[in-house]
Amino acid sequence: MESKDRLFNSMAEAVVTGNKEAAETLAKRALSEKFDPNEVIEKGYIPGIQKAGILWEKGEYFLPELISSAECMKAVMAVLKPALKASQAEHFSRGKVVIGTIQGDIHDIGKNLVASMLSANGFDVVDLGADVKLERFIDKAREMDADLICLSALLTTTMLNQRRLIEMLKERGLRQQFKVLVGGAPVNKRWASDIGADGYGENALEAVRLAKEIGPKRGLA
Amino acid sequence: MSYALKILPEGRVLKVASGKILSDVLEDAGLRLSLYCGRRGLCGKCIVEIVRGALPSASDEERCLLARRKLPENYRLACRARVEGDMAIRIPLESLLPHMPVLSHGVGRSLTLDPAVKKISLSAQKPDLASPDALLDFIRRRFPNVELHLSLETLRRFAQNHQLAPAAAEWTAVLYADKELLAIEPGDTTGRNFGIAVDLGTTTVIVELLDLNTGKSLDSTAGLNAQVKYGADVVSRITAAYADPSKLEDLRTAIVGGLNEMVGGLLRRNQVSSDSVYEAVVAGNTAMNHLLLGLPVTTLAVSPYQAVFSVLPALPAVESGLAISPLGRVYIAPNIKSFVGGDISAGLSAVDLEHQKGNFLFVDLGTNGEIVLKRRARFTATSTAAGPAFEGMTISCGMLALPGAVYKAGFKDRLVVKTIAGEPARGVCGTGLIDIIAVALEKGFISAQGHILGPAKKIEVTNDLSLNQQDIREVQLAVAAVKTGIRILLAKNKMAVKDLDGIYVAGAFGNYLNIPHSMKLGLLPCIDRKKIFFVGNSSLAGAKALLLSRPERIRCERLANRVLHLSLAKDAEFQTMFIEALEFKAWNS
Repeated sequence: MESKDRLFNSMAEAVVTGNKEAAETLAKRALSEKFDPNEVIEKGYIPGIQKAGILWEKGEYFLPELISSAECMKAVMAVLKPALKASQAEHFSRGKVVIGTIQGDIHDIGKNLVASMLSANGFDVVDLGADVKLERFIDKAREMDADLICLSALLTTTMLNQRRLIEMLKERGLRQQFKVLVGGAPVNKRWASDIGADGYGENALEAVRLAKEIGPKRGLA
Repeated sequence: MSYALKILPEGRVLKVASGKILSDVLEDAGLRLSLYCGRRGLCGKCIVEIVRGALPSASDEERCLLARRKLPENYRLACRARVEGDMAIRIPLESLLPHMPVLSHGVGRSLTLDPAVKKISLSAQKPDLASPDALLDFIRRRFPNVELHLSLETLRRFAQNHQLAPAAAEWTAVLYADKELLAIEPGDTTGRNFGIAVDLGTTTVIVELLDLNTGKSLDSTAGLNAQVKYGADVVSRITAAYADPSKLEDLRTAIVGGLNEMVGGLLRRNQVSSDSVYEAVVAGNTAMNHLLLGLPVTTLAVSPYQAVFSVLPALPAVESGLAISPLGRVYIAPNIKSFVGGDISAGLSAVDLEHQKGNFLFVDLGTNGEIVLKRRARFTATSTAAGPAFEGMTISCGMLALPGAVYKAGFKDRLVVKTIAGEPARGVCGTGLIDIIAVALEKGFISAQGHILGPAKKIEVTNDLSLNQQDIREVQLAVAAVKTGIRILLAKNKMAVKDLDGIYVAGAFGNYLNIPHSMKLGLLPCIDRKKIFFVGNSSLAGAKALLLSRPERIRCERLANRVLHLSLAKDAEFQTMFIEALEFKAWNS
């Protein structure tokens, strides 16, 4: 038991320090020792990414540190996911997300960070990239039966398209099918409520928190 | 009722009508007062001391200012104070132009004087009674090989002038680009041919008056861009016009009005009539020159960020609304692509980058960092969103490079800072930020990752000012944007830092940027210091070059047309390199 705890600690540590190699090696070792992959993720790695998030919020970590932690999670999930039983995988997913930088806007570093943090925290994320046509968000969300649509805008000009997307959803009677989260430098809570979005994340971690709160139609919360 | 106003230290005494605003009186007397905010009582730059006599009552703005700057009771703003009795005033040196923080000077390259506007004196002949020539014919005969263009207004004015002085023998033809007849003035006015050069910045506008006969600069003035009330930065201005098309005209009116006030002041002060000014050359970023012309910025607002124009022929001044001769022309320095605008093409002209032998970087540091790389004959430009941190926005105690801004810092037992004009520290401007952070790095107050170490969680600048963690993050983002831009430009041109023969640094930082400090943070690559050239306000210097030399204008247009544009956001490597660049680290590869 103690050694298992120690292993989980090392996993968390590897993620916090952004040591991808160590994180991967530990994940492989856990599989070869027949640990339950679900438990490994929940107790080993998730606490790691959460700790990195806390350090980021405290100002000790900046984008590079946070991104390398998220990269670790991605690498680990690639090792562990195939080992999850189908039912477990479904159970494990916190929800399906379509994310992208909105039409007219090509700035996508912030959006990429939100995408990797969401996926590091167990969401199934489809990232449509930058300058994404409004139509495409809707088509993709319908196709994959998404829970959440996340819209990023980095310019005061392009944020207007966030409103348009919500209007399009309403026009087509799809507004109730998806939750819409908005973010980006010029966006704020007030804007989110003005345009009738379901939420606004000030930063990547808040986006994750919010997504967990309002997101999933199914699976574990 | 009039009063005696004595001006110290020069000792001149003026007779002034009761109730006049002091700044108007001083300007009319030819004093070059710093009226940066356009007489709005905002900037506090036109402060004067009332040494003796009737102390004007203080406005609210003045009371606030005196308290904030800890000035004695007898100081007033010249743009607010009214003359209500005999008095003696002293004008502090810093209230006069040229004012240090605004870089009105830039590199002065030697150019052969060859302006677009030329004046040629002509003699009219007595009409032959038997076969009277048309009035205009003696002019047409003077230029037999040129197909003259002229406007109806030019012709009308000529005819009207002729009516007033039918016997005049001397006339002066005003020719534009050797083919267009702008005006025919009575008498010989060839000695009076003036031009205006404008650096149309998002924040600061500088206007300079030049004598086109000698190429000499006569005077200049600087002021706040009158559009700032619609937003401090380019994007907010674009947004204002984009979200509400009726605002476009408001923005245009604001900047044209602001420019005209500055031009008017300059002309008055130098006793030049607006009718002797036939050309203004404007160098500004893409958004600014669009808004000056009242062009919609819809395409500039969203991807792929297209400008309406790049190269334009000179436009009729009367259509632009600029208060020079209504028959004159306004020339806009060509936009290169997207957000790399006329301020950059003018800057390239100012340093004559095209004719420098070797490989050079031209870096203009502002909210949008524009970078141009010259690799032998090949030019590539990009713009990188540095954000307004270097201009003091987004920094908790940040401010523009105005009096009271910390602009230099070093370490001697503790942090030692210098402020602009020696005033009590009110905030930190871009160069100060770079110095403070470089010192903090060196002394181990912050890590290379930008984390403030130690329990205080802030960096003390003075007793009242400090930088917090978020401030450092903002600087990291700004530095990384510039560094990544440079690295990608180099990589795309298969070049390394060692292949560079020099780096021109333009923009508000001017000569105050500390080179070793900026290299320590990674803002500039590490190269021999002798290869770094500060070129100051190259946009204004370029506007002047384009005003004084039409051949240079043609070269500038050709260059603007062939500069390749690189969109960083579309570059696959941008994100990885950007994240990597967030670490404060000297680099040379």
